[in-house]
Amino acid sequence: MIARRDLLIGGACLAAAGGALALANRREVRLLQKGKIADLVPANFGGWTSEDVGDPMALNAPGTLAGMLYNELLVRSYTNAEKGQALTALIAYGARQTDDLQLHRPEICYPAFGYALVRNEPVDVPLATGVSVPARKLAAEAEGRRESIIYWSRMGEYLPQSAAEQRKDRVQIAMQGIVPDGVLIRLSMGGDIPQYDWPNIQAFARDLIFAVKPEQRNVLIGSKRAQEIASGVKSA
Amino acid sequence: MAESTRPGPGPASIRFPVAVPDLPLWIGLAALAIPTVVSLGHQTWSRESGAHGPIVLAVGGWLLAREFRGAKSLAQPGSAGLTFAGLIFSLLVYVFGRAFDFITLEVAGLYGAGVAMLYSRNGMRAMLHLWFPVVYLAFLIPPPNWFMDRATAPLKQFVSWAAMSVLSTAGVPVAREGVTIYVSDYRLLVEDACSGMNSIVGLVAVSLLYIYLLRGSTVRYALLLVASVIPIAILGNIVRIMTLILLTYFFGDEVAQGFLHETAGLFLFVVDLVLVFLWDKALWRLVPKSWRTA
Repeated sequence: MIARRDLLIGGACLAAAGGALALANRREVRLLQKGKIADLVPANFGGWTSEDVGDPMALNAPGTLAGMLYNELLVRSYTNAEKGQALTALIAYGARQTDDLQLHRPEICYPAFGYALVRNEPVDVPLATGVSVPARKLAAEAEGRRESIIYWSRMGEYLPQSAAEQRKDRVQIAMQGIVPDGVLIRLSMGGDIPQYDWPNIQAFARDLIFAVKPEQRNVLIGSKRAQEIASGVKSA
Repeated sequence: MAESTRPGPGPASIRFPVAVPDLPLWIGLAALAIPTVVSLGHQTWSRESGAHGPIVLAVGGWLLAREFRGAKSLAQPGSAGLTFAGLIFSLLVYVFGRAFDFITLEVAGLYGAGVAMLYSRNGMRAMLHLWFPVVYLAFLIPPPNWFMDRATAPLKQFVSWAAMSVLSTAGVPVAREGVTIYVSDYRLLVEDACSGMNSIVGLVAVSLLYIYLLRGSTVRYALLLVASVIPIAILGNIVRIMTLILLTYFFGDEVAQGFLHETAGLFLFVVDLVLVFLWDKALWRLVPKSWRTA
């Protein structure tokens, strides 16, 4: 009464469902074990003082996309009176990076917010000899405003430098049976500065990372680089 | 006890909702589909960009059942080779998608497995007869987020610019600066105002259904309507943003936000259907007579 072909088809489906169930068993791994990004990243260091801007645009309000994507969104404006510089640091942390909820890269958001991206290229931010952070350098323009931006993202132990790399890294991490956490660090100088100024942002990025406690730097740059700069500093 | 011995309808006439020979297929499909539907319910379907999912599923199923009556006379078993090639490929995609968290691949694999089953039972000729419901159900496959972001970014720009231009021409004091739209004392986030663009897939699905059900006319005419589906979805979004700005302007932020969150998806679908309907009525008068009858 039941056709053999149908039994085979049904059986194949059951096998696939079972296989998916067996493979889908993943554990959550977080580099931010406890505490908050706001405590981990120093508010004042090396001549820089800061003010928590919180959420000027209420981007993180419940119900918005950002509110679902990120567990913590830190926006700080740092100023250095001595150097006469001001800089905005946005650090977005998501404890569970999934297909549905994962870091949104600024090169997609900026144009949506009315900025034109006039430059967008990969850049390596040097931390110590032989150690650098694969980041991205953007120039955004809106009516009468210019922003120079350096940002990088960490997903698990990976620092994807482009959206394509982020997808590739996510497969790698999933195959290791891990649901990772992720963080996006965006540093921008803006306003009516006529000139773009990436070197100063890079210098700030390096100083900021070194100002974080050595054992917590992995939250921002992954364990491998955190170890490398820690041992480099010791031996120097 | 006495009742069970009473002569009457025997066990053979007990009506299952599905026929016994179909059971292996239904069980197999359910084993794949139930976990996926649960994931979709938690993620995509609860988001504005995927809110059309359950509607598409219900409508697609209904259309399939409806068209199936006509296809029955054409049905003959499909080729085993094609069935299993399609099935195995689909199942591999499904397993990869489900195991490694790619909902697009997972749903695409599930869809492919369903199509392979349908083909196995009914063959190519019946499948061609069923083409619309089969294609329609493909709208269940959620496009990847990165793709939607990229594809809709220029549209978002255009939609907010268009809404703003119309309103400021009409004398409503609106301005846009970077992320925000300013209207009188309030500000709206462009993200909120434009997220409707994410519904574009759902809007296209709804418009196609309208065209399919009312396409009593020629293929040529139906294709003309299909070509206007995306512009209409964009126009629907412009109307939505203008509504949002006007609500904020006249009734304040709270009313507008309430409206935004309570009726977000539904309003857009209604606007879209009304636009398709009006466009259909207008177009019908404009096209040459020869387009109206086959």
